[in-house]
Amino acid sequence: MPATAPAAVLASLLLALPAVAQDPAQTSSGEPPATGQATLGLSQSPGVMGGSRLLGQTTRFDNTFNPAIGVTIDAMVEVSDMEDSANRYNRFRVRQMEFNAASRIDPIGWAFIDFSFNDVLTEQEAELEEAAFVMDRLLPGNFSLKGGDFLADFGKWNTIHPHDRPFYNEIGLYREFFGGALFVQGAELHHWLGVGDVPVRWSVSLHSSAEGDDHDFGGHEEGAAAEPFGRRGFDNWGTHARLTAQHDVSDNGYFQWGFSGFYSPRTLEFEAVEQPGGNVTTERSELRTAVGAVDLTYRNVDASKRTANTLSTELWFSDNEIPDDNTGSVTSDFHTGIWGFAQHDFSPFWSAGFYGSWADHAESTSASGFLTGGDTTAERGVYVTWYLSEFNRLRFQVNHLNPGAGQDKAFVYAVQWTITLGSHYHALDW
Amino acid sequence: MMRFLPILCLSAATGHEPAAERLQVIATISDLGSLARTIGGDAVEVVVLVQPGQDPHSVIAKPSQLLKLSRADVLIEMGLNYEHAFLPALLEKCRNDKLLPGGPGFVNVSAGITPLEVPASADRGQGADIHPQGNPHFNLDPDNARIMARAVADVLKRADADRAEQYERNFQAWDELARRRIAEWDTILQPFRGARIVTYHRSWSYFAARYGLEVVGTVEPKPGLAPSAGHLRDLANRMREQGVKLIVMEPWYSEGTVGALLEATGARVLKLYATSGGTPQTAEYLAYMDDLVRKMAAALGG
Repeated sequence: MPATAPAAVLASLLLALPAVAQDPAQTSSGEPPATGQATLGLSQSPGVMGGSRLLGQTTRFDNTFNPAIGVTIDAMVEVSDMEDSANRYNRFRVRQMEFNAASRIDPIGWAFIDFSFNDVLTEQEAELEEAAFVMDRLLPGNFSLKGGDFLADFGKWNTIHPHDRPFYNEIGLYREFFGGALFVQGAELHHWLGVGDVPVRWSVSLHSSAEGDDHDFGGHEEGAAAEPFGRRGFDNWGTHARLTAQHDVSDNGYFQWGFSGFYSPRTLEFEAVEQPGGNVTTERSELRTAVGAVDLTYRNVDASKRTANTLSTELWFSDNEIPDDNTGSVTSDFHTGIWGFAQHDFSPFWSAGFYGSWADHAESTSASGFLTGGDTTAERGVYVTWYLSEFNRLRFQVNHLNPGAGQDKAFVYAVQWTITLGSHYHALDW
Repeated sequence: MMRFLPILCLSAATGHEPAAERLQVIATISDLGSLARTIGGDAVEVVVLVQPGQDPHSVIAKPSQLLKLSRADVLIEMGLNYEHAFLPALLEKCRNDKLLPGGPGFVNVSAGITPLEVPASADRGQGADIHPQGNPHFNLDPDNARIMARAVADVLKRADADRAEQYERNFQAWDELARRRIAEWDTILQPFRGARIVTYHRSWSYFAARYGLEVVGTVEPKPGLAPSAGHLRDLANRMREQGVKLIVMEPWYSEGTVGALLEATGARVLKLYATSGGTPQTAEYLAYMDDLVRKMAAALGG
């Protein structure tokens, strides 16, 4: 066949390359390679990588071509007399040690990974947080495509890692509705455009699984959006979407609004059931999860005085299927929640703020909800943050927790120390 | 005012262009905006990202800036990581290939500058505001401003070849004026060569080097870090030993931070903007530098 001839020529050329490279006498100048490392690097690749590559390079570059690597250590002491099933209070703990790396792959895309040790002193196991690629030059216009395992573009704050948030705690509303920050495995299509002089951004996603990541409560099973199960079919796939716009209010200030929606047709729910005789078995069921959110944020930085004010809130509502413990049937229930914070930055080094979250118990079938005075959780806190530098931060916070009907209220006094080594990057605040 | 009349005249001489045909120029700081307006005249429409009197480290990257970048023909940046608080995040999202490094509308005006204070090692122990390629406040040496202006003229000519002669003419007129002013400023500050000052941030290194001033120390122990009591005590000792009577700082730094220094040393604070445009009278670079030189001379002489 005619097509085999060029292929055979290419293959023979490629097979010949390592032989040329391994012989210092055959370098173009007739001199041996300048460094032993070059010889070592070449000799370690005796064949064509993967057996099928037509393009490649054998240069061993310096750090310029390595990913940017960073490490964040998020340590704290929380003092409280609250019930402590997760063994988190009255001890020093490293809540999270996060490793991250990011780099361009090629001219059309870049990728990043985050993995972490959570509650380092007790768990001692690494957990993948995010591993995703972003094809920002594959599609025309201002489209980009993100794929992999990543924090969902849902609400204003879900994509911000816990150690980068203005306060130390996981957001109570997130914990109730998703079991923590929402991670998905799937793909997100992003686009931004200008409507007049107003920048507008939207994204839409398809995901085959979604889960909350509640490090504070030691698991992924707390929330409503646990992992789907069983044989994968497209009818299992969920979706989420977001539309947001940012309006300038000053040279360094904006007002931002956003709408987000999440839908998962078949979400896995685990439930421990005590059988006659004392045995405990786990029952699982597939349930529909639908969550919507409205977010509003005002931020104004006075760069001539180096002060700032920030107000941000999110109102969430969900329409989930919930198993009824009494009847064994599945019912649909509507829940609501709201959280927000207000912060003043006195300088680049000091800030103080107030945090609050009020949310229905997402798994509760009692009369809903937050707006009508049903079974809710409530958290309120005040915090002061001292930035020794951009990469070294000490925070003091007092929270009052009300876990809901029948449970004790309590104060939590927390000191958080967060440091970052190596590369650290903040994306566009959008 | 009469001194700067030629600039106004050469700007007016370019004629009024329809807005749609104007070259859309983004300048990161006001000095670059001033040079672009002067050299581009009415043929350009200039947007400045860091407003005069603002700390560039506190400026946030906003999507509205992204929108402006996406619609622009030219981006003029200082370089040496001057804009590291906001520009990299914007350029990462910007799909306007003309403005990306290497594109026909992009210019980094630090390319012809000899940077000062290039750190021996780029590690976090050197401070929070790390500039691995050197101190980026080179706009405060007016000889460097001539290099910056040349770079601005070149990028305008490249992006808008039809008006290349006009841009070159405007640049030559500005450059001639700048040379005359620089000679005047040399004369004004000549008596103060060797004078010792303290600065809050390392913003004034190029100005000090140009006019022979000695910066004895900085209020910040390292760039971007707040001073400790111990650092201020050491600095006060050095100021007393070396007879330093002047602390130069930008208006956004708190005078309260240096209160103890002033009390311990009897020094005075001179608040100066580190770029043009802090007041309407100093919107253009040469007017700003003229004002700066005279204020510095008055403070050193007083």
